Amino acid sequence: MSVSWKTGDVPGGYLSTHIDGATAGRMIKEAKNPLLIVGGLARKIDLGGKRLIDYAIEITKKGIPTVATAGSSKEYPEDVDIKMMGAVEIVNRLQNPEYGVNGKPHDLVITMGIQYYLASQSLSTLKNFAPHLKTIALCARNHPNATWAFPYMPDYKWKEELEKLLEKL
Amino acid sequence: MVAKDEKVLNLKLKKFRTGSFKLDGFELAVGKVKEPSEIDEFAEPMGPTPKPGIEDLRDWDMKLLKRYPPMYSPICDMCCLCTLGKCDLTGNKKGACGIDMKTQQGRWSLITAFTGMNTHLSHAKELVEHIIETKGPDVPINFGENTPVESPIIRVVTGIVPKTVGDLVEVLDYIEGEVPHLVASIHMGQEGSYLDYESKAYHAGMLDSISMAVADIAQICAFDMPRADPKAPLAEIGAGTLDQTKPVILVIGHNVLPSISMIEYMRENDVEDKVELGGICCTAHDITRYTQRAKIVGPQSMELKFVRSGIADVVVVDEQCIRVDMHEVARSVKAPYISTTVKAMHGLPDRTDDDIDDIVKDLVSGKETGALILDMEKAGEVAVKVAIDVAPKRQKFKVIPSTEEVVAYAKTCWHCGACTKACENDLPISDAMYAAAEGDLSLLGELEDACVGCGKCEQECKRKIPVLSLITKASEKKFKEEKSMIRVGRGPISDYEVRNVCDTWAIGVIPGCIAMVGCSNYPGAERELYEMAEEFLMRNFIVAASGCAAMSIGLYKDEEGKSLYEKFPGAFVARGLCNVGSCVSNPHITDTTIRVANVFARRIMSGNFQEIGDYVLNCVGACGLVWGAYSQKAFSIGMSCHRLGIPVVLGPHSAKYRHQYLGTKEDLESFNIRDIKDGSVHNVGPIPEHLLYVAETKEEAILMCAKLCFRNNDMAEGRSLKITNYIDIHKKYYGRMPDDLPYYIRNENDIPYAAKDEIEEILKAAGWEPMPVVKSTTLLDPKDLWTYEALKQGKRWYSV
Repeated sequence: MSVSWKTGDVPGGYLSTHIDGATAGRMIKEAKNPLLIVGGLARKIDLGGKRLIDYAIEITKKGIPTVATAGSSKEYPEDVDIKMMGAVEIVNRLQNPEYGVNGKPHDLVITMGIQYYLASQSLSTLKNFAPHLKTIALCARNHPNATWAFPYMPDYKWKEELEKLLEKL
Repeated sequence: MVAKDEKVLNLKLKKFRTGSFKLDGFELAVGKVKEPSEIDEFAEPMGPTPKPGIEDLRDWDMKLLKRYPPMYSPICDMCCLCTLGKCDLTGNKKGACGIDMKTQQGRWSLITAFTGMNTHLSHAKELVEHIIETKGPDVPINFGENTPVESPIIRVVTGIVPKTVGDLVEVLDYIEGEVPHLVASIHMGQEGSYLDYESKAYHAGMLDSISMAVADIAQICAFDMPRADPKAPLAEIGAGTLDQTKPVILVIGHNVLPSISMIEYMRENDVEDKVELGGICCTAHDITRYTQRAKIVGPQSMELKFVRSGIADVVVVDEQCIRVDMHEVARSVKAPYISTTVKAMHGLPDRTDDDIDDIVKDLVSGKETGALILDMEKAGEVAVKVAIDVAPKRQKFKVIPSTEEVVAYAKTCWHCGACTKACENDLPISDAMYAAAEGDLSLLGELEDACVGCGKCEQECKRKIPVLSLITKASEKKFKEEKSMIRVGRGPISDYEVRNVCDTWAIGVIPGCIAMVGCSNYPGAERELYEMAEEFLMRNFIVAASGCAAMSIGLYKDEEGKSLYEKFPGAFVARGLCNVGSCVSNPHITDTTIRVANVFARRIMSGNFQEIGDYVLNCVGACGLVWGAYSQKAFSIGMSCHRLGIPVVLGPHSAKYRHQYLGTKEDLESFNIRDIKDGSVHNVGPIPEHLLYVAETKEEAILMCAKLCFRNNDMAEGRSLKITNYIDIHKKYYGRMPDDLPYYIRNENDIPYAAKDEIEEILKAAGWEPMPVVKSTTLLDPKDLWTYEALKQGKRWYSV
């Protein structure tokens, strides 16, 4: 069981389980219809010469349906298929077990690059009102409301885990 | 003067001849002659819901909640409100009392809105009672000939037309009558329905709007603050505006009464030039509305930093957004502390009945560090006397460390990251400490603009480093020199001004009115408020502001050294920037939407909430932007907007309010409307798409505000302009065309000419079909539109 990044973000008895990059990669690959949600912060996080958004684009290019929120679409090449909507808009739709951005229901939702507290609250919505979904938070600031989440880690370690994730996709 | 329908004399002359004078078919009806005091100036028929109870507007609420169902984001999975628990509700499980997670979140909505509403109610009650006690009940309510409707929201909710401050008591009595029913529903979660809890939260929000209106009307009229004045003067803002060579009194909070007593005492004793008066939070707005000699230090986030700086010689708190530990902070800089309300007694000795000189002596000598004084006049006199006497002793004693001390503290840092973990904005404090330890304070200084001043970093620090004080020291230059201009709170927006813009606004040529209001819990740099306001102004929006947001907009200047208040007019016009005043001035902004309904569409105001809300939702392109909302009051102000049909965009921290009202545009049926003329059902697009939306970034907020100003009755020219704005903002911040245009283009006339080819391609790819043209839309059954029913019954009226 994980310890939340924010000292006060202690939601209750059901907290996320730590996960590493390789395991996350395998889970994403094995999911029937995963969905990647990329937040606006992804553009601003530099992981030693490679930004978080660059990792997100690589994951998308592996064929993972993607929603780009809050202007993260700006970094995506025009020919990469993404949906644009707000983080809260996609989370709201995901409460419906029939919903899918590609017309098919999702079974796994992956988040990265969303402001910590907005991501935490969004994952809370999914935890409480979307029991048909599992969630993975690929943020280096651990998220207790996800099903699985990276533990807190420094940026160099985060970069390593993301590289391992990509290797498994 | 004759009152209608009270005929007491009828004179008919079929033919009358005298000399050359002829009169045929003359008829004269004379009614009962009334004394001037008996004349009703407001002859509207009363609508269906004067002084509504919880159940009276429930149907309207449910219509809104069906279209915009609440999306909940629990911040706590537990319920610990009774001894049956605590109960784990994760996954929408039920607790021991039977409440499930959704209902628990609805319950929190009501608790939060209700707390905020009562805060303003208490404020209003205290103001009105004080004014009646000191000036009598007959203080006239008068905003000048351009503003004959004194308070649209009070008329719409209660049907009351207050002529004097004494008349406002009836409004307060109505609100107080609703309080127990709202509170009782919280007990054991007995309401049982999350939707009904939301409806009750709307009710609390609506009551909040009239509480605020009462408070601001009363203070404007009793203390002669600017009355619907678009040319209200400019006032100084910023920590650097205070003359630190003089004794300084700092007032914090929202209730202007103690401050007015200070000002009056200073005037009477000719010490105005000898003492500086500055304010933080909304009291600061209100003191500058009373005298331009007063200064605005800044928003609530300045409290801890400013008091620690030692500039204030006396700290006087009134109510609402005051730090709970302010007495302790004031004590640390040896500044005497005075509390003035029963709502925040802070464990202080009650000195209300004591001799003034004794209180002054005790505070100046340090025998007592603080005092509770509930007599406003006495509190004012004590504050001034203490400031004058204590200033030479204090010598601006501060707890901000020297540069050498900052470096020494930084060297003790373990870089454990606990401070950043506690910081809601994830400020990179550890990096700044590394630099500071080497003597470079620049990184620490850069943190200031995004620091909300909460001090949680210090609570977590195992090394007891006063992180916030280090940041304050590192930004000392800005702190001392920060000086800008803000337009003084103008109060109401006149009927005259609304009349001048209502046609262009209601049909969409003015793309919307953005209300930038609320607190200072910003997710990033405070400067973002300035940037957002500037973007809306340059895009021809009307921007209205209040509270801490209005201050943050004013704190920044362009390259020429001018603030937005100096560059844009204070009138309610396209490219106008109106600061209405403090938090209780907020209804003046929402009142503009009611004035449009009344002036432009001739809708009855009195007791006619549902029809007015329906009109605003369908026709008036307005959107709130509360970028730093954190308080319960900000929440309830938001609720007052929702019931009135005004969408609100919040900053990302506000996800912690636990709920949003989100539409789903693919579910077109949920956006069905009726044609007012025949009641036929149509779909003209998902507009406005959401009622309460949390945006992740500044850019998303700008885009969403622009989109949420779309309205069903936009004329083609207006919709085309709004879509042009939407596309332009989208391209600027999202790098490509929006993919949802087919939802908002009703027919070819809506397509902006400049992007015609590109849009037509998108429409073709989406299989777009034109939507029906419906000139006047409603969510209601047209028979529930009271204005039309009254017209059918042959009633005619005038509202002013």
